Amino acid sequence: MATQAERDGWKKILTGQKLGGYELQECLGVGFFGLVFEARNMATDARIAVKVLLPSSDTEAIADFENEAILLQKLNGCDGVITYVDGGQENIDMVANGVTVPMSVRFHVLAMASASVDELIDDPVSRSALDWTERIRIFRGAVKGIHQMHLAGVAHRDLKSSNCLLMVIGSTTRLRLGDLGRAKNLRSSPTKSIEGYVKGRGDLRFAAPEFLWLQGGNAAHDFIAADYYGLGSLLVELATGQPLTSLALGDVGAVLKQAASDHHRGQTSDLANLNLQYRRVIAEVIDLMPRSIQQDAHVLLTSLCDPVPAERLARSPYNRDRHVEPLEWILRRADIMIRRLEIDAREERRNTRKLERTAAS
Amino acid sequence: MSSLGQLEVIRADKSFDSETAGPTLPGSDRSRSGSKARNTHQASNTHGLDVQIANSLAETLDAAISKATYARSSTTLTALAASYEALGAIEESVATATEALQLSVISARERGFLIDPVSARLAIEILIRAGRTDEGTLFATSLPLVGQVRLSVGAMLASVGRLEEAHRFVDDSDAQGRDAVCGFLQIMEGNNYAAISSLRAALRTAPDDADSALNLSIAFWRVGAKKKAISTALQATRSAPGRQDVGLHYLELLIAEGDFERFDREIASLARIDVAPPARLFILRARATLARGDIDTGVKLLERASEAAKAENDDQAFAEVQSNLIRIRAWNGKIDRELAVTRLLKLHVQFPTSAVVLVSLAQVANRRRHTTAMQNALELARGTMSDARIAFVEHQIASLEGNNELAAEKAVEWYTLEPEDPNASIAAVVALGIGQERWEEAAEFAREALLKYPNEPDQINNAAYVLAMVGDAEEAIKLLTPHAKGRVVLTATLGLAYLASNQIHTGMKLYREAANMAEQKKDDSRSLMTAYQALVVRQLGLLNASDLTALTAMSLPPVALPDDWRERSEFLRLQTLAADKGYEWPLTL
Repeated sequence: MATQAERDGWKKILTGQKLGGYELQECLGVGFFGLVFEARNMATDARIAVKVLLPSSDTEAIADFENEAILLQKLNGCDGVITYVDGGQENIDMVANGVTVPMSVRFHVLAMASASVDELIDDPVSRSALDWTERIRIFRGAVKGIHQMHLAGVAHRDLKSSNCLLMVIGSTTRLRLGDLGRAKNLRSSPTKSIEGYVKGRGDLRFAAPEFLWLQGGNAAHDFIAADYYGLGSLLVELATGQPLTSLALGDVGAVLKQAASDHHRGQTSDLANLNLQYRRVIAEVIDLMPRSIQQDAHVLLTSLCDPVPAERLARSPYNRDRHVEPLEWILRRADIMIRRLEIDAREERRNTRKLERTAAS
Repeated sequence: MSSLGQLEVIRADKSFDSETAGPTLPGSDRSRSGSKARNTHQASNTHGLDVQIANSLAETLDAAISKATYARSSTTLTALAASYEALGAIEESVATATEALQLSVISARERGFLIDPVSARLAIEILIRAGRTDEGTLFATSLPLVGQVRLSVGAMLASVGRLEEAHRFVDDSDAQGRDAVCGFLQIMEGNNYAAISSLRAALRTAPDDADSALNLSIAFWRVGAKKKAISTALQATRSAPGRQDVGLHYLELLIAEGDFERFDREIASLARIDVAPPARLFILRARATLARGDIDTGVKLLERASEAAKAENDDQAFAEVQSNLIRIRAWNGKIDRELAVTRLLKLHVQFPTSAVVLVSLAQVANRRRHTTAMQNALELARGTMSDARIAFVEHQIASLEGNNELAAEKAVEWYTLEPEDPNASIAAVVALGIGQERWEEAAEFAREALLKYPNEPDQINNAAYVLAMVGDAEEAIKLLTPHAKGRVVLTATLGLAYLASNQIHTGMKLYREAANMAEQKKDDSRSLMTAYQALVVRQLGLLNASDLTALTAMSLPPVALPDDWRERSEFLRLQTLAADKGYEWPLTL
């Protein structure tokens, strides 16, 4: 685990370096295990993103980085996931105390995104400027990306707004999922003991409750259920700027401490007890949405964010969607919500025009 | 009651925490308690898990710092405050949440509305969790909160006792769940009937709301609607079968109602689903067992509760169990009272604010010299005690000090607050009647006691004593006669009743019979009985009306006071009364 100073040091060292025919230009983001640079393809001059693993990373981070490359290549046909262009491992020259030392660096070359969704919502002013049709489109894009991943046998396991990338293609903006460092091939057997999965990984404020209560599983349906929760949490983020877990469970450190104590004693708690806490937060979130989509959003959030993982996998509560796969009914609902919002917008424009005409006459 | 006018409460099921489940804020954080734990596999690599947790906490903070650096907004700062809180960095968390709220206040002033309401709610919650209630309340009242968020903040303020401010947020709300919060607020204020109405409305909208069902059950219980309380508690357990607080509340009500059959059924059903029994469940099982008279099994269950409480780091439960073990051992005669008091005082030093330890001490202490320590302990624990418990402890202290006036005042207060406690009833009758000669008032309590406990010898004895003194000697004789045979205290009181009905010979004969029975017990009750007889003869005016020589001949011969009479409440009560009336002490004929 690198400190901020170490990461700043690597940022300095790597900026301007050439890796596999790409020149690292500007550091776009600093993550816990790596850095993302805007880079130039030296042959074509094209703009590209290069994700570099910090050379000081431990074996687990290296394995995750390598796994990400494999899974991104596997998902390269999916338009809901960031495109993997190239990758590898190269030596760069590092000067230390006047001595030049070759340093091996692992990197992925990825399509360049215009922005990530968190950039649109971290500031409450820009979030409020983002109209609800756009927010639901973003949500729909993430659902589509996750659905494609699941169909390809991959779970994302780290879904949040900062991992949702926006690509401007012509006049349209498409969402693509990025950062598959924690993704899991659902068709391969677990690579760790169950202890390695009970807690899940990453930012705790986004973690599904089963991970905070150390009840995560290592079966495919466990990973899928966690992704569903991530989708619900993304919709909450789009509405409030905060992840669902943080809003519903409060002090996540205290939760984890209690869970660790229970775990040490070989005991487990019933996650269904959290229902009322989640219900309260969902009510808060729905309250912020336009009236025309409140009912659908309530159904979606109640289903996706059920604190009991198995409940998230239940079929659609809508009769006509009962035969479709879980994420397909979510996509259909998102489409309905978008249409409703478009109708609202049309109505509003019509009313405005009417008012203008009345004022003019 | 082991002797006349002595309230013996050591045996009573008084020093258990009688309200395991308090009112619950609807949809509140249930991370630390409230969930039934089930046994699962024992964790194998706990160190590896601790490392993973530490890494995740560091990563959480790192991500939040990075975002707040990139965009310093109320959203990112609140996220950072939450991350600091998760790591236990409370000062940083408070400072960051404050900065986030300040940004919200400025923005709301400029725009006229709150642009980031949910972050504001989260930041206020962080301040309140950190104990910064004043700051949290100030921000809450400064921000133009609306809708669900306004209701959530109101509920949060109610949960930390800011009831007046909470009303401003809840009363005019039309948000979903208002009835549930309103009911919680009303129950917190002791407005139980209003709470019942609100909570019923809440349950009509959301029948599976276990928080409201629990609160409704508590409200029903508080207004004396016990059957409804139990059926609502049952509804709560069925809505949330995994909720420990709800389950314990239901079991507690079953114990209070003496419905041990249902209690056993519920325990069996918990065992079937392999619920790992927490300390509180062992305590309830111990209480049910003790109430059925199986002391040995009860003690064993308390010992298991003690181990569980230690493992759960539940100090309150540990103190409760330990204090009760000491009390029961003293009551059982396994340890003497003095040793029990010493141990309870030691426990009090360990848990100075524990109400349960103090109540146990008040039950066990039986000497005047214990009162200073009890008084000091009361000052430390007062803030954590219910009014009824404070009144009970103050009554015990006043009685041990021989302060009859204060003992009567506190006994009445105790009875008013806990009219269902049979000991409170005895205390009121004894302290008002025998201690204060306020016979008419005492007779009212006595008649209530006879209605509630028509077959309880202790209640009958005290009631008959008071009725005889208030002029209803015939009624007293009728009450006592079926119960007096073979019972020292009741026979003596029957003697008193005959004296009051001017049947001096029969009265004195019964006193002598009682004294002979007392003689066989080889304790001090004969000395106390002699003093009582001398007092009663004076109170009934027989000393002037009767032939003094004959009266003296028929009365009990004088017996010396025990060496430690100055330490004992039963003698001190009489001495104080004798001093007030100008009678010589010791009282003799």
